[in-house]
Amino acid sequence: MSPQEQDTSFIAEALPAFISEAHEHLAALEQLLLELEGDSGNRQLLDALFRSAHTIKGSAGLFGLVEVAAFTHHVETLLDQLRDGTAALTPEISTLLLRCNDEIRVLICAAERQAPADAASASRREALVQGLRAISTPSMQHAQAATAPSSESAPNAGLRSWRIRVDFGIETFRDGMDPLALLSYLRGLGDLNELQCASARLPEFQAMDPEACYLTLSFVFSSAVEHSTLEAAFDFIRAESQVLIEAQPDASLQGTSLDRAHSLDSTASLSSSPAATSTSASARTDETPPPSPSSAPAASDEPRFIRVPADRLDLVINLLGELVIASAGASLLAKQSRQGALMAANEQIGQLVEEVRNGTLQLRMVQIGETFSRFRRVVRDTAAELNKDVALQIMGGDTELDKSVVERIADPMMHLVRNALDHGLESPEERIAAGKSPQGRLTLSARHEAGSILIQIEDDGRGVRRQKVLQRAWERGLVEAGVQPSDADILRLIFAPGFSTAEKVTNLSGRGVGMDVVRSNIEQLRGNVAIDSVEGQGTRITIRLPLTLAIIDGFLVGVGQSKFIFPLDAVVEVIENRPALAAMDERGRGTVELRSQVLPVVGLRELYAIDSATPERSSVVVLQSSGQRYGVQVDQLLGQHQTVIKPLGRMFRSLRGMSGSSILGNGEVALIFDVHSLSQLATDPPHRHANRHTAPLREGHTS
Amino acid sequence: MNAPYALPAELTIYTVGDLHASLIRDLPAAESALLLDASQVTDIDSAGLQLLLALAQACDHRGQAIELVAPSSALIQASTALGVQDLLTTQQGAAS
Repeated sequence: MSPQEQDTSFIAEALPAFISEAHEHLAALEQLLLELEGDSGNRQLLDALFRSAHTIKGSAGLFGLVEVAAFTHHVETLLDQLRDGTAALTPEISTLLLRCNDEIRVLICAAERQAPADAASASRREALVQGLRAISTPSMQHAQAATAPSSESAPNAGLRSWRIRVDFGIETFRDGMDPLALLSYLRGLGDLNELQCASARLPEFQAMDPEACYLTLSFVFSSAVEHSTLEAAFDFIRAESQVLIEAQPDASLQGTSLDRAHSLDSTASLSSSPAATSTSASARTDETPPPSPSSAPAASDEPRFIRVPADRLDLVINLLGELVIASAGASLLAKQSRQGALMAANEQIGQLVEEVRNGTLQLRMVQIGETFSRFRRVVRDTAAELNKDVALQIMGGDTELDKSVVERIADPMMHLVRNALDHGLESPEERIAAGKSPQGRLTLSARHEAGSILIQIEDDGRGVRRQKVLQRAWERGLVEAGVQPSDADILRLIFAPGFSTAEKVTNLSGRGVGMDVVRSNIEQLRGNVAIDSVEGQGTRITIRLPLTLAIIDGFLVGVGQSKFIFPLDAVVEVIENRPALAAMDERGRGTVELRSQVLPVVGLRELYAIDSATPERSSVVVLQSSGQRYGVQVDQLLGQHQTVIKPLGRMFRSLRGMSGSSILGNGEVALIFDVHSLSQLATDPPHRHANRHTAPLREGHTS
Repeated sequence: MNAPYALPAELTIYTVGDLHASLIRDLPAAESALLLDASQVTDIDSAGLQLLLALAQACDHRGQAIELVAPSSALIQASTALGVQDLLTTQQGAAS
C-alpha cells in the first residue's frame, strides 16, 4: 500500500469518529455560548470555547474538509479575540457565533453524507464571515499591542526554552491552518523571540501557487509549559509539516546574543541568496522527533467513558433478546421434564439472564437532560425572533431512557416547543393586557411513571381556543358542521392530519404538517401524546413513551389459543377466577364492580373476535394508564414473562391497542398490548369505534 | 510615476489566487517602482503575507523597487506577528 493509499484508508476509517467528535464539540460550543450569556467574562468557558473550535478546525483540516476548516477558522479568530479580551461577548456576537455553530454543523453533516454542502450554505457562510470580520476588524488595533513580542516577562523558575523550526507543509493554508494562528497561540503560552520567517522555499512569483504554503518559521520559545503541551500545539500541522523542537540548555540564554549559526539560512528580507536553500529536507526529517502518538493528553478531570459504536451495542442487545427467548424455552422444557434439579438450574440461568438484561439495557440509557438543554437554544432564538420574553424551566433532566428513544423524540419535541413559543405564549404586551407577568414560562419536564417516561411541555400562554379549533374542524370537514364534540375531543382534533389554526403562517410552525406528524412519530415509538389546555391559562402537552424499545417485563395472559402480554408495570391487580361477564356489548365492552366502584372492562375475545368457546370462569387484569383504571377480561393468567419486543408484522399494523409482538419460549407468538390505546377502546363511548376496523384474530402469528 | 496598485481589503487564502493572477497581469515594467497601496487591507493571513513576500522577492530579483504605501494597522500587525516586518521597508533594501 502506498503512503497515499494508507492515508486514504485511514481517513475513511477515522472519519466517522471525527464526525461524532465534531458533533460533540459543536454541542459543547453551543452550551458554552449559552452559559457565557450569563457569565460573559468567564475565562475558563472562553478557553473551552476556543479549544472546541480549534479542535474542529484542526481535525477538519486533517481530514481534508477544507470548507469546515476554512469557515471554522474565522470563528476561531473571533473566539481568540474574545479570549484575549480584545473583543467582548455581546448578545449580538453570541447570536452570530451560534449561527456559525449551526453552519459548521451543516458542513459536518454534509461531510457525513459525503456530499458537498449546497449553494445556500455557501452564501450563508459568506454572510456569517462578513459578520465575524465586522466584529474582529476594529479590535485589530488593540490586538497589535498585545501580540507584539514581549521579552520582559518576569523570570520564572520553571521557565524553559526551545528553539523551534517549522517547515510548513505545502497544503497548510488549504487545510485551513494559519501559521499566524499558531504563533498567536504560542504567544499566549509563553515568550516568542528571534522570530524569523524564511521564504527560501518560495518559487518564482510567476510560478508560485499562491494557495500553497512555502513558509518556514524559526524562533526561540520560552515558557513554563510542559514539553508535551508544546508538542500538542503542533499536532494540527504535524502531519504535513516538519517540526523541529530543540530544548535550549538554559532559559537565561534567551534574549542574549545567540549564535547566529542557529538562525535560519535565509530571512524574509529581500536579500535572499540562492545559497539559502541549503538545508535539505531529508536531513531535517532525521532530526524530527517522532510524531506524538495521539493528540493532546486528555485532562485528568475528564469523565472516564468508553466510546462504543452503537451497532455493537445493538448487536449485543439483539443477541440478548434471543437469549431471553431461548432461556424461556429451556425452562419450559425443564418444567415439562419435571426434574427438580434441572428446573432449579434453569431458574438460576433465568435470573442471571434477567440481570444481564437489565445491565445491558442500562448501557443504552441516557439522561434526557441533554436533549432538553438543546431546547435552550431553540427557546432563546425563537423567542427573540418573535419578540417574546420566555423563561425556560427544565425539570427531571436526569430521567433516563433508551438512547434510540431519545434520538427519535427530539424532533417531535422540537416541533411542540416551537408551537408553544409561536402559538401558545403571547407577546409581553398581550400578557400584560391579560394580567400576567410579561415573561412567559415554558417548562420541559420528564419523569418515570408505570414503566414509561412522561415528558411534558407546559406553557402559561393563551391556551387553545376551542371555538376556533372547532370552527376550523368544521371548515376542514374533520367534524361534521354543527356537531359539538366534547372538550377533550376538540383538543384531540389538533392532532388530526392537515390541521392548523395559525392565523398567519410563520416560518416556525403553522404549515399544517405539524401536530399530526408529531403524533405519528410518537406513536411509532409506541408512545402517545395528549393535550390539556385551559383557555387563557396555558397548555400542557404530555408525551408518554416506553422506557425501552427492546425488552420489557410482561404479564402473559391467554384467551382461547391466543396469548397476549401486558407491560407488567401497567398491571395493578388481577381478579382471578370469577364467573365470566355476561353483559358485554358486541365490541366487548362491559363493566364490573370492584370494591364498590364501577370498573370498565374490555373483553378480548369479543374485541378481537377470537374464535373459541367462552369458558365458564375467567379473570380480569386491572390496568392503569394515564390515571385511568380499567379491566381486561381474559381466560387464563400465565404469569410474569420477560418479553423481547418485536415489531408487529405488516398485517397487524392496523390492530388497535397493540404495540408489538413477542416470541414465547415454545415458539408461540404473543401480542403485546399498548395499555394506553387499549384504555381508549375500553372507556370510550361505543359509537366512536363503530366504523374502525378491528381485524378478526384467530391465531397469534405475526407475518 | 504610475498610480499605486491598490491591494484589496481581504488579503487571505480566499483571495490570493485572484490577486496573484491580476498582479502577474498588471505588474508594471521593471524600470518603474512598484507601489502597493496597502491602506485598505483589513484582513490578512499568512497566505496573504506570503504573496507579498513572493512579490517583493520577485521585484528584488529584477532590481525593481517595491513599496507598500500607507500600510494598514492590520497589515503591520500581521507582518510583525509573522516576523516579516522587513517587508514594510523593502524599498530601502532594494535601493541599497
